[in-house]
Amino acid sequence: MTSPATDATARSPQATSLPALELGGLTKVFVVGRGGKKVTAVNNVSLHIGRGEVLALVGESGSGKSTIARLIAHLHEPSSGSMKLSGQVVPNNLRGAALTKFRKHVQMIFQDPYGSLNGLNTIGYILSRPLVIHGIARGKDIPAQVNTLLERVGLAPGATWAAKKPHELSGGQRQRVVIARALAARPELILADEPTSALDVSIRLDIMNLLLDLKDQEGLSMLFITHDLAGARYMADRVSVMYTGYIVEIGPSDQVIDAPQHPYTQLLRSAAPKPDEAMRPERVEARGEVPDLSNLPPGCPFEPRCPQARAACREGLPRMYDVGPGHQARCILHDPALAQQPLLHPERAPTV
Amino acid sequence: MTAIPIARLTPLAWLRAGPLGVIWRSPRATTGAVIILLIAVLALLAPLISSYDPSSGAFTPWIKPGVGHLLGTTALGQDIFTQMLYGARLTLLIGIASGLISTAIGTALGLTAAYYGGRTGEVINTVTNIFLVLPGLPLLIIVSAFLRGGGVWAIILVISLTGWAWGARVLRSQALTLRNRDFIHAAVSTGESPARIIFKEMLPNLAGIIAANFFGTALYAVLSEAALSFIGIGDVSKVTWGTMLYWAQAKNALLQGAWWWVGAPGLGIAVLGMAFAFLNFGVDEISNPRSNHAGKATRVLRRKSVPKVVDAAGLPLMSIQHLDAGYVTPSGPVRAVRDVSLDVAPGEFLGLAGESGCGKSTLAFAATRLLDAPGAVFGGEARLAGQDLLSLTPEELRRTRWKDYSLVFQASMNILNPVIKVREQVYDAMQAHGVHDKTKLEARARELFELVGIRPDYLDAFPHQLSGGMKQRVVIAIALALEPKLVVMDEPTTALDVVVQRQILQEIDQVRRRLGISIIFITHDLSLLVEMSDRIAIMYAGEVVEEAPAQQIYTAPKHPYTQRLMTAFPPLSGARERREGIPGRPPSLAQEIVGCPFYERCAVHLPGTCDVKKPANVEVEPGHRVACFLQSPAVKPAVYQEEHDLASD
Repeated sequence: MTSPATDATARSPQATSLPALELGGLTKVFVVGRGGKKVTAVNNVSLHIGRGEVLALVGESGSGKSTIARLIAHLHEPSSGSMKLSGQVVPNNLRGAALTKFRKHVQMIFQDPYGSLNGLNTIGYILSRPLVIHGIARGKDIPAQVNTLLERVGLAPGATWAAKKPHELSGGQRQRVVIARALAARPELILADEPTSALDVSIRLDIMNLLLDLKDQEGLSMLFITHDLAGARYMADRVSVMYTGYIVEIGPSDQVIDAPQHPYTQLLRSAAPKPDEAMRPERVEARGEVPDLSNLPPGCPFEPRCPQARAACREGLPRMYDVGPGHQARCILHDPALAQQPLLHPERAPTV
Repeated sequence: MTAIPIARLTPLAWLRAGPLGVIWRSPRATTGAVIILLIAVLALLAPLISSYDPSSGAFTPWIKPGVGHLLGTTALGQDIFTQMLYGARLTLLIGIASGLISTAIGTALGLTAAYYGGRTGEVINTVTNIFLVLPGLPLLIIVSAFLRGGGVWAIILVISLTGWAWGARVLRSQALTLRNRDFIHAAVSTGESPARIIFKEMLPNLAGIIAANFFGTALYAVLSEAALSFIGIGDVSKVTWGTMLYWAQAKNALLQGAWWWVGAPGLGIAVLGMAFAFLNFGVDEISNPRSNHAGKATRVLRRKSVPKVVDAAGLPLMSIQHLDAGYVTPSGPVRAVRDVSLDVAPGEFLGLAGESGCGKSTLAFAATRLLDAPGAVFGGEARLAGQDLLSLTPEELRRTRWKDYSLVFQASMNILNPVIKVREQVYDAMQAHGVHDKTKLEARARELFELVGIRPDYLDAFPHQLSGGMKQRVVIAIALALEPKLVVMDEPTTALDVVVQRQILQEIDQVRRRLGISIIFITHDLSLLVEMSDRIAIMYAGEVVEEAPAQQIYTAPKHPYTQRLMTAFPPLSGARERREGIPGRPPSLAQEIVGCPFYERCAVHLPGTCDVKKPANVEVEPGHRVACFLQSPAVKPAVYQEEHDLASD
C-alpha cells in the first residue's frame, strides 16, 4: 500500500509552497436509523488551508462543521471527494499502518477537556502515547519530552504536572494538556473543534493566545471550528461560513465578518452579542430554524428563512460568486441579472 | 517501554485504591466480601479443621447434630460438617470459575460489539439476544445431559456458556456510550491500536460494571450448580453443596426427619448466594450512583427564624440579605455563596455574571429554595415581596412557587415529557394552582404561545417533534403561565444556537416589558448580559464583587476583576488586536478565604491590605457598589491609585 503523506515529502522544499490541506468536493452521507434515511452532513465542500494559516469554520449546530474536522482526521470515512495533505493525495479509505502514519500529520483538539482526557491515566501517560506511537521518543527520552511539551503549553515545571491525573486540573489546564497531546506528534495541521467553548470566559483568550503563539512558533496550519464570529475574527486569517453542510461564504476574516456578503452570515452577525449596543427593539430578521438535513429545499438551503429570497433562489443551489479578493459567497444577489427579481417575502425585508 | 513515573502501589494499597477498592466503600459489598473470604478460608483449611474424609461412611448413619458431629451424619454415615467444608471448595470453584469465564466472554463480546459496531456488532448482538431469550435452566439441563460424566469442568463450561449473555448486553450498552466519548476519539486520532483502546482506555473505565457482572454470574453459577446437582445431572460422586442436596433428597432425608442434612447445604448455598448478591448490588450501586434527593425543599440550616414583613410597599421585589449557602460534603461544608446581599426592583432585569463555580447558580437556587441536597442554606434571608422564602414550609413553598416566581434553566427543555402533548404540560402548571376551566386554559395557553413566539398549533405537538429552541420557548411559556412577579433564568439559552438564542432573548425582553415582571438572568456570557440587563452583579468566589447599571459596568468597571473580564472576550468590531485573559484560577470554595478572593489573580493588589482584610462592599457612586480597597478612600494610597489607573487603561 502506498502511504499518502510520508515524512520525506511533507517537508520537502517543493511542498512548502503547496497548501497544507486541500479539500475537493468533500461529501459525507450518513445513513440514519433503520429506515435507511440519508442525511448529507457535509455537501461538496472544497477549501484549502495555506501553510501557517488559520482557517475558521463558522456555523450553527448541524451545519456540518465538526463533521468536516472528523472527516479530515479520518474518524469518519468520506462518502466522496478528495483530500490532499501538502499536495499529497490522501485516499478516503486509509487503513492500518498508512492511517497511523497519516495521523502523525493531522491532530485534533476537542471541545470538552473534561471528556477528552481519560480520567484514569496520568497526564504523563496521556502525553507519552503519541510520542511512542509515532516513534518520536523512546525509553528514557520520553519523560523529558513530556516535560518539554507541558512547559511549551505553559504548564511548568513539566514533571509536576506529568504526575497528576486530569481531575486535579482545572478546565483551562486540561485544555492545555489536550493541546500538548495534539502537538506531541509534531503535526502540520491542527483541527481545533470549538476548543474554547467549554471553558470559562476568563480562560478562553489564554487558550486562543496559546494556539496563536504555537502556530507562529511551529509554523502550524489550523482549522479552527467555532460558532462564535468574534472568536473566529480573533483567531483566523480566513473564515468559511457553513450552513446545512454547504459552504455559503468564504474569504478573509475582516471582510467576511465586518462586511458579510451572504444573508446567512449577515444574520449570524446581527445575532451575535454586541455589548456596545443596548438591545434594539427590532427583531432579527430570519424566521424558522435550520431545516431538516434529510429534507433540504431544492434551491438555496437558506431560502426559506432568507429575507432577501427571490424566485431564482428556489431553482437550484446557487453557485459561489466572487465578491472580493479571495472572497466568495453562495448567493444569487451577487448575480446582477438575478438580483433584479422581486422579493418573495417583501414583508421580511429589513427597513433601511 | 515508557518510563513515566506511575505511582507503584503495595498490594494492600492496591486492594484499597485499585479497581476492587470500590468494595470497601459499600457496607453491603463489604459484608459479601467478608462472607466469601470466610467460606474460602474454611474450605482451604478443611483438612486442618476436620480430620474425617468427606466421602467415607465410617460413622453411624442419621446422627443428629451435636458434639462429635457438629452437623450430624448422612444416611451413608458421612460427617456432614466435613462434607460442608470440602463441598465449599467445589461450590466456590464452580461459582468463581464460571463467573470468571462468563464475565470474560461477556466482556470480550460486549466490548468488541461496541467498539466495532456495524456488521460485527450486529452479529454479536444477534447471538447475544438468542442466548438471552433461550430459557436458562432447560438449556442448562439439555447441554449438561450431553456432557454428563465430564466432571466439574464440564459443569463450569455449561454454566459459563449459558450465563454470559446478560453481561455482554450490559457491557455493550455501557461501552457504546464510552465509545462516543471524546477521549476515545482522541486516542483513535492519536493513532492508538484498537486492542490498546479497548484494553487500556475502555476496559479500566468499565471495571465497576465488570466486577458487578462477575459477582452476578458467580451467583447464577452457584445456584445453577445446586439446581443441576439436585436433579442429578452433575457429577454426584463429587462432594459439592449441590450434590449433598441430591443425596439428601435421594435418601429421603426429610422423611427420615434428618432436617440437618438438607438444612446445612441449603443454608450454605443461600448464604453464599446472598454474599455474591451483596457484592453485585454494592459494586453496582457505587459504579452507577443515582441521586434520590429530587423534589425536596432546600434544607435551611439557619438558626434564627425571620418574621414576615407585613407592609411590603416600597420594598424591592426580591431582597437577598447576607445569604450564606453551599454544600454539605463529607470533608466539610463548601461555602459557594458568601454573605451575598442583592435587591431586584419590580420590573427589573438583573444580570448575574461570573465564571463557572463562582456560586451564581447556587445563589439563585438557594434564594428560591430549589437547591437540592447536599446543598443547604447556612444563613441569611431571601424575601420575595416581604415574605422570607427560607422560612416557608414545603406546602407553603409549593403554593408560592410557580405562582409568585418561576424558574427556567439550561436543561429545562428536558423536563418536558416526550410522550405527553405539549398542551397537557402547559395546562399542568395552571391546574396545579386551581385553574380548571377548559376554555380558560385553552385561551391562556394560546396567549402564552404567542407571547413566546410559537404558533399556537404547536400546542398539539409532542415535545419530540419540536426543536431545542422551541422546547425552551415552551418551558418559558410554562414559567410565565401564572404571571409570576419574578422569573429566575439560569443560562436558559446557552445550549442553543446564536440565532435562536437572539430570538428567544428578544421574546423574553418584550414579555417582561409588557408584563412588568422582574428577571434574574444568570450567565457566563458577559457580552450578552451587558446588552440585555438593566443592572449587572459580578460574582467571584461566592461573593458579589461589583454591582452597577449595565452600561456603567461595561464602560467604567471599577473592580479589577470586572475590568479584566470586560476585555477578556474578543470584540466583534474594532481593531483586531491581542487581548489577554485572566491568569490563574479562583480559590477553592471549600476553604476559608482570607482577604480579597481575587488577591492571587489581581495585578494591582495591595500586599498587606488586600490579603489580610476583606474589602467591604461600598456604594462608590449612586447605584454602583464595589468591594475593592482601591475604591474605598480610606485605604487608597496615591501610589497605588497611579498603578491602578495604568492597569485599567
